[in-house]
Amino acid sequence: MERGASVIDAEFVWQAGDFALRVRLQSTARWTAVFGPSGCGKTTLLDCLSGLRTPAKGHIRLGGQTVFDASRNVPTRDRKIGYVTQNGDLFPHLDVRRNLTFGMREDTFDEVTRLLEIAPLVDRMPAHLSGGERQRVALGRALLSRPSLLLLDEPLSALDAPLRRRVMAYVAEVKARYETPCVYVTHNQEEVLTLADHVVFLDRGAVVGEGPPSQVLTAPGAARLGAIVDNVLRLPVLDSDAAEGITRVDLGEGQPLVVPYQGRRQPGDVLHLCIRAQDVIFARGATGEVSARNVVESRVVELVEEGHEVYVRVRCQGGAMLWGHITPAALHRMGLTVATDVSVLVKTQAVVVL
Amino acid sequence: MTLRALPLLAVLLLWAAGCAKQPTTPSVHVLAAASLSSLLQDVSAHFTDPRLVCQFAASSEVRRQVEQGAAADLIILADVRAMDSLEQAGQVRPGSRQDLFGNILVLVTPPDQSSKVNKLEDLPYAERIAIGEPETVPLGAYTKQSLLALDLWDALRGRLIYGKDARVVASWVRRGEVDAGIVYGSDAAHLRRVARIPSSTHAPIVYPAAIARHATNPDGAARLLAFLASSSGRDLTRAHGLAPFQSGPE
Amino acid sequence: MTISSEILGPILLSLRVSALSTLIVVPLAVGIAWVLARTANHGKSLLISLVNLPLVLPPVVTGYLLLDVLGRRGPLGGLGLAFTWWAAVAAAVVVSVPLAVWTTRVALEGVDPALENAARVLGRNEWQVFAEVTVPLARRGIAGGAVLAFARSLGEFGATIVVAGMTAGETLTIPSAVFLYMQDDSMGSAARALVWISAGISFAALLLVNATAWSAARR
Repeated sequence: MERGASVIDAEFVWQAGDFALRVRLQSTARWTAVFGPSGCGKTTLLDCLSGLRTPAKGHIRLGGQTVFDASRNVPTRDRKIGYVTQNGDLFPHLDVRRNLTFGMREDTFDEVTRLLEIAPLVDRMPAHLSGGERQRVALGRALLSRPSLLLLDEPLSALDAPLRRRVMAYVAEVKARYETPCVYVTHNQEEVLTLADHVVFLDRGAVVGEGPPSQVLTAPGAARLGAIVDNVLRLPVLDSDAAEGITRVDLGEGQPLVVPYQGRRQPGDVLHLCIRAQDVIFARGATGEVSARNVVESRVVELVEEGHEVYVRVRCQGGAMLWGHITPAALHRMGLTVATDVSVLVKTQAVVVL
Repeated sequence: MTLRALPLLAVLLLWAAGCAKQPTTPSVHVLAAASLSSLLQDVSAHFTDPRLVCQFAASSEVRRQVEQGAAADLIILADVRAMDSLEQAGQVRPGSRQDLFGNILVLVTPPDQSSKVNKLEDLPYAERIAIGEPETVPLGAYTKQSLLALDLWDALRGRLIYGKDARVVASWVRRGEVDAGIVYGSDAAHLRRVARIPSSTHAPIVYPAAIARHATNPDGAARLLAFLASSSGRDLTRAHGLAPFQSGPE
Repeated sequence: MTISSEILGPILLSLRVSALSTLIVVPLAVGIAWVLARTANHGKSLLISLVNLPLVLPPVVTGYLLLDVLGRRGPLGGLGLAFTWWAAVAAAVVVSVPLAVWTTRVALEGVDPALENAARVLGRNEWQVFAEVTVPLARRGIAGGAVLAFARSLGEFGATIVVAGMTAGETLTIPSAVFLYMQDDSMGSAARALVWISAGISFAALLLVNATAWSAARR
């Protein structure tokens, strides 16, 4: 989709009893995150966008098309929306294949099942899927309906932390592969940082701010971060060396990243990896001998200071983006600013393969 | 606390009041065939000392109730066989049995003159005829006897519909669901009486009565029987389409 | 009438009448339950009262109302259904519908609305959502309604004797036969046999539904 085209242009009021949702939202970002605590109206917002609920007044334009205003209310079935909920809401009386093809508009079945790695599950019943498998199937079902807009309502909230990262990597893959814009509701900062192009902050039924994803770190009411920020990556294998006990993956354009040995892996196999922000070390100037196997040249693209926490975002050679967590003292000592060239150091053992 | 106890108190008081000793007006307990209900309701207005307490059911049901010990002073049935078995079972006072009323069978048609049946001989031209169920309902049994005697049974067989009792049969005739029906003379009100079925074609339709063996008020029962034999009793009987019997208690 | 025809006749007739009645009642109940789910409040209470009428009326009164419709002078009199086994079916349907509607409605409303919404988002219209998601997910409750309808149809007496009569082989259902046989001492054992057999049939139907529910839960 062309850059700058309006993804969402919505201004409306929805009311029920004491609760009122007042939304003014204009976004040209491809993936917009809606961030806020529970009860703030995030799900209601998505329901209004999808047509499952009707606002009292206002207008909603999705991708330039008006789906709701004073004279029009396009029914849900015609809005071409893909919706993934917290529980997946797979049809329990249909097997995975029939769930996936329920709303299929174009036959991209093989492509989608391959991307989400759910092809081996197609003959199972939803009751026999794990939480992560369920959400992947739900995502697949939404994708197969060739939506013009994806609505993801806390799709990973019901999963425990390690599983969440695994599935998040699939979601990131979906974002990379498909042009489809998305509104992604979450109260998890990691998801915002990994997936969003733009963040809208919602609190008690009103939009209280919006901005770039890193703003979620300093958002009012945001939880104390500490070492919560982690880099989740999905990278293909280059080669392995059993004697050395290592496997190398492609950080982008051939730039290798050394990770612990993963057994017999073919080049091209994809691994899910996690590098904690606090395990990312920066170096400036010429580096001598270092014990870490990974030394990658990169450039600072973003700096976020929040009290005693500093988060540095760098673009590595090869294109990968990484967050690092340092102290304010280190920031000043090293004189880091945006566009500074730094080396990123990561120990092999610090890379967790999920 | 007291407010909540109020409804409970009210219920208790009502119950206690109900249980309080009734002023002892003597009563006569009558178990009778359902077809006698209107007559006996009328009788209870005229015969007040002792007052009548009546219960109505099909004759076979009354018989069953008496056998199982239901309280009764006087039993009046519409079915001779049922009274025979009560007598055989020793449930009635010997010598108290008598035939109280008689009844006749009549051919009736809907009151609006729409039927083509104007005499007995027209029956074969009727499309649908209602009678009592012939194997087990007394009305039906008498009707079948008559139709057999009149040589009409085979001709009419395919066009008969069977009712559970005289009331249902009469209702079908009244509504015009059938072209004709055969009911007791006492049930022919509001219907067009076309002909009387000759009494010679069926066993006599009698309503036997007897005083129950375990009656608590046998004198009251006897006084009721005397009333029914009296002229006012007989007038009432005739007014309800039944024929009073000449003879008094044996 | 031989012994076996006295007993077998009413049983076979009752089974036919009840089976056909159930086949009619179930889709009717599903349709009515759907309408009730979609209707605004004032229309709804009217329809509910109409559907529940047979529950509060004495069966004989229901029978006479049916006769008003199906009898010679009724709007459907031309069909000649009164006093045929079709009238017995009609009586069974009318008294069973309230029970089936109630059970079906509970089952349909018990379906998770999130699943119905998922179907809407995936492009289905309201009728398709109902047919492809709601009804399949409510099938156990609907089956329960069917069993209730069958059992109620088996036991239907008061309305049947008024609108259908008691013709052996045509409209003499089990309850009518039991009533008649009880009046005659010689038929006592036949009456007793019918009572036990009809209780056995209802019991078997209940077992069947519970067994399918149990095996479905195990899967």
